[in-house]
Amino acid sequence: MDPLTATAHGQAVALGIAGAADGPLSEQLPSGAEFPAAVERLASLGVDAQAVVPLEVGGFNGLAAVAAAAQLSLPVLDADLSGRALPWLDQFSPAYSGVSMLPAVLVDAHGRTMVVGGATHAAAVPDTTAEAGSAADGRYLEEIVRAVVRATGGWVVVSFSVGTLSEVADVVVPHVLLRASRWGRVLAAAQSLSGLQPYLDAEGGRVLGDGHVSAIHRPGVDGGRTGWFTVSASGPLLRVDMQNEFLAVAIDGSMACTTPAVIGVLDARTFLPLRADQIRLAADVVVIALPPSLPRRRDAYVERTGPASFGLDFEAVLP
Amino acid sequence: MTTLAELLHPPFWRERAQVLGAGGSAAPARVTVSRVRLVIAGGREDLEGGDLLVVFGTTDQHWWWDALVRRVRDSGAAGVMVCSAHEAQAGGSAAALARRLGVAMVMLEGSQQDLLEFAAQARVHLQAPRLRDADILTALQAAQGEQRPESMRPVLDQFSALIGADVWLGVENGPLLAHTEGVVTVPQEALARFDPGAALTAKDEYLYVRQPFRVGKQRYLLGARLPADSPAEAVRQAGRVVALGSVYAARWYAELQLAGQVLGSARNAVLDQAFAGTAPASSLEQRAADLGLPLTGWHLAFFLAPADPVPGLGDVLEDALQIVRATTVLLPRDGGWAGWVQFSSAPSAARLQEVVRDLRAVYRKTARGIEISMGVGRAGEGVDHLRQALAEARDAAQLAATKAAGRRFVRADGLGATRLLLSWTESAPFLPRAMGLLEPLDDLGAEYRRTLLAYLDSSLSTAQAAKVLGTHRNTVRMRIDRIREVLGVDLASRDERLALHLALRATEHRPS
Amino acid sequence: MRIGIDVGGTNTDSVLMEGDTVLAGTKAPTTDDISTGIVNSLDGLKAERDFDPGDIEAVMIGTTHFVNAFVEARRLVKVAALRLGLPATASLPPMVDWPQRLVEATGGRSYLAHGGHEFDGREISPLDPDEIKRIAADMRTNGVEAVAVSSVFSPVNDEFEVRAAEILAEELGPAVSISLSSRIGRTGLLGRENAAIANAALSAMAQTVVGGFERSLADYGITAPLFLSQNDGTLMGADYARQYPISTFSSGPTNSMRGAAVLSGLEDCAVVDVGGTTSDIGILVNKFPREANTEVEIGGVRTNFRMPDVYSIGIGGGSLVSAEAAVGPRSVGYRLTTEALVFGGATLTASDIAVAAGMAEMGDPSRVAHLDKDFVTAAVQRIADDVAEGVDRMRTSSDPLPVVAVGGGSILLPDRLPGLGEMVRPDNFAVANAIGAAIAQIGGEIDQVFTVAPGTRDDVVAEAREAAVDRAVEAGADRDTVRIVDFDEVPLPYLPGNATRIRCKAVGDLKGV
Repeated sequence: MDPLTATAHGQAVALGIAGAADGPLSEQLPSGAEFPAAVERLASLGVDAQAVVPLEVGGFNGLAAVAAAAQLSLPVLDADLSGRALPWLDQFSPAYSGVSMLPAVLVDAHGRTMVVGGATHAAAVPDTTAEAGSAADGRYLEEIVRAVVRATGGWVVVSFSVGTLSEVADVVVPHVLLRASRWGRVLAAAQSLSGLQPYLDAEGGRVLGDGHVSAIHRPGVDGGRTGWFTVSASGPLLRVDMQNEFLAVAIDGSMACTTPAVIGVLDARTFLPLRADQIRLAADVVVIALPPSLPRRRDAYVERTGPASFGLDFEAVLP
Repeated sequence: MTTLAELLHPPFWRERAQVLGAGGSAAPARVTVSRVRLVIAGGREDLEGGDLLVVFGTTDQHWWWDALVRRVRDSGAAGVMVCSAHEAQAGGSAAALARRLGVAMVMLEGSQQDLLEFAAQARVHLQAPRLRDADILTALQAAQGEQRPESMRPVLDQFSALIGADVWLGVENGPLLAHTEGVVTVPQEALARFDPGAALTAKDEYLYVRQPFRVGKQRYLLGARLPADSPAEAVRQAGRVVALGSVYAARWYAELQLAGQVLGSARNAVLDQAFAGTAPASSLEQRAADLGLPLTGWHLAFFLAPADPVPGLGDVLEDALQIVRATTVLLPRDGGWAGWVQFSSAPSAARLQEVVRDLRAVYRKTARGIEISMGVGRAGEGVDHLRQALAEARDAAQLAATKAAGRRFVRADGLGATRLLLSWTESAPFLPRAMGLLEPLDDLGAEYRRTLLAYLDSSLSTAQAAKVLGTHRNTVRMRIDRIREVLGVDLASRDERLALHLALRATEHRPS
Repeated sequence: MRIGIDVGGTNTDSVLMEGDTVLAGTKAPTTDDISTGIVNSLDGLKAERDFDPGDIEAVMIGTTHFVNAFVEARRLVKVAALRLGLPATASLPPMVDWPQRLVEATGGRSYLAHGGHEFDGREISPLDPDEIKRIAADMRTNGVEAVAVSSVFSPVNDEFEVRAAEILAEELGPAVSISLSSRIGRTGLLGRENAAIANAALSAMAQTVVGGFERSLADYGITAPLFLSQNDGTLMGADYARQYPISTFSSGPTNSMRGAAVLSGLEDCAVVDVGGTTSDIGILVNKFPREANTEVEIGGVRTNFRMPDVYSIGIGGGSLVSAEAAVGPRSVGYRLTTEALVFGGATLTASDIAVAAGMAEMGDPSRVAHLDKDFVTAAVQRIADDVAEGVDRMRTSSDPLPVVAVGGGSILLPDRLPGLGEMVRPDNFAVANAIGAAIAQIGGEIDQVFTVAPGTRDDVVAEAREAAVDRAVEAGADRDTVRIVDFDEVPLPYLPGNATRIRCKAVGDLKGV
C-alpha cells in the first residue's frame, strides 16, 4: 500500500524486533506467534490495525514486517519509520512527527506480552504541539525496551500505532520497502562493479571505493560505541565508522558520506551486503552510498538520524 | 627555513621519534616547519602552512585523527606529532592515511610530558633567526660527548662561548650551583623567583637573563650575565640560549635525581674529600655544587639517627624537610642522615631561631611514626666548620637517643657544659693522655670503642646502648665485661667513667 | 613416518612422509568398497619406497565421500531432528529450508520439545524427560535410524542436549546414532541444527566407511592411530569421525591448499589449482586457508560452517580458445585427451596453446605448428592476465605474494604473473591432497557468547584462548606446540554485561608423532 495515497480507515501499526540480531535472534528463533499477539493486544487497547509498517526497512525488520502482514492478512505499507536501520527508538519518525509511540506492546522471546503506557490512546492524531512529548515517549520506550531485552531472551517484538492511515503520509518514510527489494534484486544479480553502476547512477548513488579490509576496530571492544574499519587498495584509503550500522565514510580523510545516507558494504565477490559484525580483516569489499529516502519532515529526519545522533561530532554529508 | 629533520636532530628525539609516512614529500628533511602548535585531540583549529601540530590527549571521536591528517595535507601544514601513549588511537587508520597522503606523522616514544618538552624546545629553535639553534645543539652535543657530563660546567662553558657572556645556574631563591669563570657571585635578586619577561638589571649593574625550570619539586634558574649596556640582539640571543639550555639542564638534573642512590654515595665521596682536604678546593666545590651540595657560605648542620634501619627514610625526611623555609641538603652518612641548612650570608640570631624551630618541627613530624633522634650543630661558615658542625650534630643526635621517646632532639648550643667539656677534650694537652688511656682497646677493634661510648652515653643502660648500636643486649654486656678486663677500670666510679667518656670523645674523630 | 591418503571420487592417492619431507607418493583408482583402492595405493607406495608397517606412527585420511554422498542424497539414513527450545523457535521447525529431495532422502521427521537456554545460560524452560520419552516412542514407531539433537544456545550450555541424548539412547537402543548440534556447529541455531541433521543422516555410512579405512590398514599390518582431515585443515580421531562425518565436508580444497604449501615451503601464498575446466584460487595465511566471509550452502542446505575462501575462474587445461584468443569458460573437460588438437582432436584448447608456446610437451606438437605466433602469444597473455586478476582479487595486501601452481593444468601458467611474486611449481603436486592430509595438525575451537563484566575483558579473552587450547590438547595435540591461529571478538549490542561473541581457534602438532 502506498502511504501517500492511503485512504482506508483504521490505523497503521509499526512492527519490528529490537535486540541483538547476530546472537540471540539466530538462536532463540521467534515462535511466529509474536506479531499476531502484539497486534491483538494493541486491538484490546483500541488500535484498529488496518495495515502494517516496518519499524525499519534495514536488516531483519524489513522482511519481518512483511511476514507479519502476511500472517495477519493485512496490507503492508511501502514505508518505514527510519528509512534505513537505526539503533534508538527516539530516532524513529514518530518521535519528531508529533505521534506518540505509546501505548506500545512488547512481546518477548518467551511469548509474554507487555503494555507500555497503560492509557488507552485510540487515535494518536499528529499534532505539532505534541512534538516534544512524542520525542520523550520515544526515549522512554527505548529505555523500557532495552531493559526488557536485557531481562528476557535478548530480543523483543515492539509494536505501536503510528496513527490513522489517511494521515500516515506525514509520519512515515515512504517507498523504502520497494526500493529495498529493488536493490536486493540488483545486488543478487550483480556480476561486476560496472554492472552496478547504472543502478547507482539512476538514484544518484555512487561507489565510494573498494579493496580489502586492512584494519578493523570493532565497536564496543574498548568500551567506545563507535568502531571503524579501513578499506585499502591501490587507490584512496577508505575509513568506515560503524556501530551496529555503517555511519560514515571518509575517503582519504575527507568525509564523503554519512548517515542518513545509505552506506552499503558489499562482499566484493558476491556483491551481497555485509552487516557491521560480518566485517572481517582481509575481506574484499565494495563500499557504496545511496541517497537516503526522506520523509516529509526532511530536516528533522536528517537531524535525528545524522552523525550527531550517533555521537559523531560532524555535519551530515549526503551523496 | 627549519626542517622537521632539524627539530628531530638532537639524539634524545632522534632515537625516540618514528616518522610514519616518511619518504617522498614526508621525508623529515623535506618538511619545512614554521610554527609548532599544541593541539588538544578533537580540536578544530584552522591550520596554516608550516604548522607542526603536537597533539595532546585522546578523543572518542576516532575519525578526528583521519580528518586531522587530511586537514594537514590540504592546508600544507608540516605534520602531526603524537606520543606513543596514544598510539592506540592515532596509530590506526590515521597512520595508514598519513602514509598514503605523504603526511609526516611523528610517533614519539614517550609520554605527553615528552611532547611538551619537544614543543618547548622546538619553539625556541624556531624563534632563532640568526643564531642557528642547530649550533647550540651541536655545542651541547659536543659538550656532552658520548655520555652525560659529570658536571654542568662544560655545558655552561659552551653556552658562554656561543654568546660571549658568563652563564650560571642556581636554585631558585637558593645557592648558585654552577657558573662560568667570570662569575663569582650572583646577587640574590637574580636568583629570586620571577615572572618571565624582561631581563633584570641587578644591583651589581650587570644584566641578568634567566630561564626557570623545574625538576621534581626543585626549581632552578639558568641565567646569563651580560654587561648592562649589551645590545638588544645580544640579550635576545642569550635568552634563546638559556631557554634551550634549560631543557638540557632539566634533563641533566632529572637524571641525577633518578640516580638517587648513586647521588648519595657521590655526595658522600665529595664530602669526604672536602673534609679530608685532599682535592683542590675549587674543582671540589664545583663538583659538590653539581651534586646539589653547596659547601660554601654558612651552614647549620643536623644529623638524624634512626634507632633501626627504616626503608625509604630518605624520602620521608626529604618530605619533612619541606617545613624548613631555606635550602636544605640531606645525604645518607655514618649510618644516619646528615644534612645542613644553607645560608648565602651570615644568618641573624632571629633567623637561626626560626630555622631551629623548623628543624624541631621536622623532628616532631618524623618522630610520630619512626623511632629517631635528631641533633643540631652550631651555625658557621666554610667547609671546615661544616665538618665540625656535622660531627657535633651527630654527637647531639647520639645524646638525644638516650632520652625519652618524643624528646630526642638536642641542639649542640643547648648542651651547655657538655659542649664546653667536649671542646676542651679537643685541646692539645688532653689528647695524648686520652689516647694513652684507651690504647688497650685498639686490639679489640673499633666496635668496642663505640660500645663503650654508647654505654656511657646511655648512663650505663645495656638495653639503651644495644638499641643505639643495633646489637643485642648480651653482646653489649659481653663487650663491656671484656673492656673492663682490658682497661682495668671500675665503671661504678663516676670519676673513672667521666675520664673514659672524655677520652673517647676526644679521640672519636681521629685516626687511632 | 606418517602416511597420508586422499580417498577421492576417482583416485586414491597416498604419500609416505617424514616431517615435511615426501618420501614416496602414488595414485590408484578408487574402488567401490574403498578398502581395495586403499590397499592398492599402499602397495604402490611400498613399491616406491619399502617401509615396515610397524614404523608408521599415524595415518591421516582425507575424503570427499561424505560430502558427495550428502549432495547426491545417496546412502542417507532415516533421520529425526529433535529441537529443544519450546516455547521459542516454533515458527521455523527443523529442516524448514531443506531441498525436497534431501527431506525425502532423510525422512524429514522433526520434533520440538521444551528446553534450551538464554544467551547468558539461563534456562528457557526445563527439560521434560517424559516429553522426550514420548518423542522417542514415536521415533521408534516410525523406524528412525539416527537422531540429531539441537538445543537453543547449546554452544553456551550443552546440558539439555546431553541429557536428551541419554534418554533417547536408553529408549532407542545403541543401533540409533545420536548427533549433538553443540558438538558440531557454532552459534546460529538453524545452521548448527542443519549440520547436526546432515551428520545424523550420514551416520550409517560413517560406520561403514571409517570401518573400511580401519580394516584396510589393519589388513596391511598398520597399527598406528587413524585420523581424518577436517574442514579447517586439522585432524580428528577415527572414533570422532564415526560420530561426526560432516566434519570432513570441505577437507578436499583445504588439503589441496595445505599440501601445496608444504610442497612449496611457503606459509603465506596464493595457491592456483588449475584443473580441466576451472582454476581454483585460494590464499594461505600462516599455512591455513583463509576462510570465506559468508555462509555456505551444501547441497542446498545452509550451514554455518566456515569454508576455505576459494575463487574459481573458468580457465583450465581443456578451456576452449576462440578465434579472438579468448580462453574459456567453456571447456572440453575430461575429453581433453581425445578432443584437443595435440591429441588428434579438432578443438583448439588451452593445452594446445601451451604446447604451441613451448610451455609444455604432450601429444603431437606438429598438430599446432600452424598456429600464428602472435595469436598464441595473445592467448598465453590472456590466460596469465585472467589468473593474475583472480589472484589479485584474493590477495589482501599489495606486498609481493608468491603464487603456487598445482594441478594438471598448471602448465598453462607463465613463470611470473603480472604484478605478482614468483610462480612456484612444486614437484609431486599431483598428490598435494594426500600431503595436505598427512601434515594436518590437531585443532581446538570455541565460538561462544561471553559475558564481559567491566574490567574483565582480558580475563575473558584469556579464558577463551585457554579453552581453545584445552580443546586442542584434548583432541590429541601436543600442548607445547599449540598456538592460537584465529581470534575474533564481536561485542553484541543491547545485551547486558557487554555480551561478546568470541571465536578462537588453536592448533598444535599431533602428540607423539
